[in-house]
Amino acid sequence: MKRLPLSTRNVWIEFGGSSLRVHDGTAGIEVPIQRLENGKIANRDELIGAIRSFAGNGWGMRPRAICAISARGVSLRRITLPPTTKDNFDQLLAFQVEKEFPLGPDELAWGCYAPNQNGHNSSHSGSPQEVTVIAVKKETVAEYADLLKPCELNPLFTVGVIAAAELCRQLHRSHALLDIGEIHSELICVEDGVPSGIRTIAWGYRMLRQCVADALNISPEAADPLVREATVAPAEDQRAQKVRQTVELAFARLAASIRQTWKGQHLYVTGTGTPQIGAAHLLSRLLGVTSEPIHIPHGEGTSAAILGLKSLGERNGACPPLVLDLRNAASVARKRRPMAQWKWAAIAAALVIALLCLRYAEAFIRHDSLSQRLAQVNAERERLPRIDRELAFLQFLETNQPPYLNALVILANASAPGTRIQSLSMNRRGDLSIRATMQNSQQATDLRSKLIESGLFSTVVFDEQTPGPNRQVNVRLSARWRLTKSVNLLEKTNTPALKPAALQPPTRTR
Amino acid sequence: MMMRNLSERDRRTLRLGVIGIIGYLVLFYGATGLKSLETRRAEYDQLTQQARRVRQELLPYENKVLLLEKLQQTFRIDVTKLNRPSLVAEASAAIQKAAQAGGVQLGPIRESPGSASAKELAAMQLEGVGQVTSVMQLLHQLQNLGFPLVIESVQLTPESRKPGHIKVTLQLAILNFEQWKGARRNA
Repeated sequence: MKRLPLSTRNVWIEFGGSSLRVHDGTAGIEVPIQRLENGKIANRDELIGAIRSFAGNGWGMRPRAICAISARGVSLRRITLPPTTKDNFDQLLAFQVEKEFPLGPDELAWGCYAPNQNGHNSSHSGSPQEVTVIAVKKETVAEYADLLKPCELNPLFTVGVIAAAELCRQLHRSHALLDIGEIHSELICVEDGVPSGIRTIAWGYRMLRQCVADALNISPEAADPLVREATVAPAEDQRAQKVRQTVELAFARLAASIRQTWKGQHLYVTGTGTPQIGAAHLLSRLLGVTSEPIHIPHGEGTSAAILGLKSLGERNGACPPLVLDLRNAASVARKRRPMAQWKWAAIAAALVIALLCLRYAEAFIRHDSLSQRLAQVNAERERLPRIDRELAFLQFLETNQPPYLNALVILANASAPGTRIQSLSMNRRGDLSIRATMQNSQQATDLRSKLIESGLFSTVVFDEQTPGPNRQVNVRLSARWRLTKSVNLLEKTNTPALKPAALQPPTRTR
Repeated sequence: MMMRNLSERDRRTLRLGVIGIIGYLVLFYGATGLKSLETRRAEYDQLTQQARRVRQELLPYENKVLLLEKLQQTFRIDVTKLNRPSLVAEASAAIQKAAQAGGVQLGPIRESPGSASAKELAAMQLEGVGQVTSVMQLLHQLQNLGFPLVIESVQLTPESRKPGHIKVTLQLAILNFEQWKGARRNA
């Protein structure tokens, strides 16, 4: 159920057939309504003045006016809607209203009981929904709304008898409420908490008083006290008996009208003078149902409808269960449609923002950090030439270290035992010269072969070979090693011909 | 506080007003805003391209630095800490110390200015006598003393006065780093 904002002050107004009642919860007023022949209000200014002076708020909040209208001209229909989504519900309902009612939805002020309030098909999606629609001519309600505009009130309209039914809502979910008025009576039938019928019966106190006046041949004004006193007058009072009979006959006609519409078991009776004339007791006997009166506290501006609205307001600020909407169907549908449109607009806006973010966000986020990092790197780049220089220097040093030790090892391994070296010189250009004495010329030949096989030397020549005593040979050997990047030539000495051997100092033979 | 309930017309007016204001802002400031966004993006693109270029430039230096560190460890040379005025003296002292430690008895040591064309700071000639292993050890240590030394020539002869000993004559060149401009290889 929709809730009113708690901070808003409420004023309850009933637009009856012949009187206007206004109540604010503590006090009320009642102003007679004069109508023209076409039913329009004749004393509009008087009513506006009365409402303004009663509800005038000065510097306070603008009050909300919850208005109950008479049931005259109100139609009720039960419409079955096919399963539909929430967004399409209003539109579909408007179509059905146009189909069921004699006037189109734009010409009606109408409201409905939502599916979950019907008690039928409340929570089953995919199945038809039964909706109770109550409608009245829009001009009727519009007239009352125009009347309230100068009073600076925000009106909400409902049907008076529906508001009055709230008084017995807690007692029985299926019942009927009869509100006996001055000129006519209003009957509302409720099944399972939802109105199933609203009817106006042309039967009121005026007619009752007229019947009694005709029976006793007195004026209706004189008949009024007799009607009230008839129930309490002693049984011997013939006049009172006649009044009682006349009242019973009149109520029988009322009961017959009620029976045409309603066949239930619980009836509640209300109206300003009902307790005095025992209407509930009479109707209970005539209809054969349980009937209870609803007491209306004595006071100006009070009625069953006002009390019903007040009890709803006291129940946490609840709205009436049915509100007659003055807007047309198109505006109601537009109310729902914008939500869907705004949803798509929001999705489109989100996509545009995402597009902009994808394109520009990285630039915004990373620009500063990247430029800082670049500045740091550019500062470090100044060291690069120095690194190149140092590396080149050390690489030159590495490549220009001649393999003296390698050559000595290979020479030592290639020399035969007994070889005596007198001198050995090597230089950076790769020249090696040896002056040695060998045991025989074969050793010299072997030495040359081994030196060449080692792979370190590109050329090996004997500058001189001179035979000496005891078949010894004095040799002068020159070799040149290959000027390539240093190779671990010690690995090459693993060949059988070049087994490692210690470089022995020359032994004296002399 | 007065709580005014807005009618449908008021809401519609407000909606149209908000749409109008947004449209005005988009129309008159949207182009400028987009332009500034594009400028920022173009600057960022330039930065990223610059970063890529620098990265390409620095990529080879990863290996160079590793190689440099390895050579520095091998030769135990920190070029930045070499002091040119005292380099020759320090190198000579280190050689003598290494020879003494290895058991090589050094003889005359002669120093002369180096060849500028060969980027040499000084040339040194030294003679020594020692056992074969000591002399070989000295030859090996000369490369790792922490000075830019290149052995120009080695001459070995037997020492007649001391059996088991050999005489070594070395000619060394001390390189001048400061004359080094860039990458050069020995021809």
